Amino acid sequence: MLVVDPALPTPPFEQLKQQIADQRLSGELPAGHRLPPVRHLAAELGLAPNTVARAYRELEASGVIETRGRNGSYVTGTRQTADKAAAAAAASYVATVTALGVAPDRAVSLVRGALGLA
Amino acid sequence: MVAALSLNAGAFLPAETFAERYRARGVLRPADMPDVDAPSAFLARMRRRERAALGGSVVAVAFVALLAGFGLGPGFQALGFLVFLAVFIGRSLVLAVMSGRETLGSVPGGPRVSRGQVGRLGDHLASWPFALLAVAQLGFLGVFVCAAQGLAPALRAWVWGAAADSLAATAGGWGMARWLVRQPVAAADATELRWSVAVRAQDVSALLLLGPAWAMLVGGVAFVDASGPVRAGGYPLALYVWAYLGVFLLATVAVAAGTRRSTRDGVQGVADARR
Repeated sequence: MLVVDPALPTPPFEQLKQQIADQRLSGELPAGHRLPPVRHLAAELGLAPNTVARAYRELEASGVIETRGRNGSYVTGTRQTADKAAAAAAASYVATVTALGVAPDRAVSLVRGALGLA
Repeated sequence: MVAALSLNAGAFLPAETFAERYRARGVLRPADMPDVDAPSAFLARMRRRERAALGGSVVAVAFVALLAGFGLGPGFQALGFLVFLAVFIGRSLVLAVMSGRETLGSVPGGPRVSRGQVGRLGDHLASWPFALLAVAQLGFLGVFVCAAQGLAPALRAWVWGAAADSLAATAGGWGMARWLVRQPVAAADATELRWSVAVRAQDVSALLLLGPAWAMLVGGVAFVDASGPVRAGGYPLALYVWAYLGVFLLATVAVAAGTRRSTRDGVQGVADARR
């Protein structure tokens, strides 16, 4: 959820920018999350479209989001979100190999093989 | 007429009674609403919506009355249901347009919140009951249109007209629902956001129910004496009407259950569904 309060001393575009960046780091906005179009977000937050466009531009310049042409703006991944997703995939793999009765050493060697490290 | 007025009862309620609908433990609170008190700004917005919806119903009923005055309405028992449907349609369309444009009426200044995403149909409700309803509608209309060949010309024309209109209403309802879920949501804080999202789910449901409810108009001929012993597949037409009504009610219950779940999960549920 994004909150903008015009009564705060921080300019609205800065509030918006900071929240998107923070939520990306915390994982609240996951990698690949599609942000609303500029006019949509401006209408919801009671801001001028230029204000939201400026925040998006600066976020894009700092690599927090990426614009995919007419498909919109998407949150880019971070090290933390990548680690979290990898940990979930590892847990899923462990559950599968355990169910199949594969020995732990064999499971690890399979991963090493898949990574090209064997 | 009583049923039609009850649909717009919100426009006639005193302010205190109206607010009971939007309290965490309000006695008039619908089951599928958030379990927190709605903020006063939201209440004022709902109040404006109800009054406008009443206006929409009045215009739709006036239109039906005009048609009936020119002899273009049904000349049998379906007129009562047609009036009720007009109330429902007028109300739903006005509410949908007001809901889609709610951010335009927001007073500038003060904090505002956003979900940070564009809504999808699945965020607001389970689509499968409506898909089931659309299939049931198609099947019901198919049987009825085939059986209508044996009806008197006036009734046959009614069946064809009502069937075509209801299919157009279903397509239009889905189109408008898709438009509505993509429109911005107005909210000053997280609580108002939850309420706005819950009310929008109701508006979307109403749009998706328009066509299937309209299809029941076709069934009016099954209860007209002049229709004669028309049967389809060996069964009386009324049986198909009751069967369709049963599916309609089941789907409505499923919709209510799905909406309740998404409302209980709230904004966080919407966010989780994205992941």
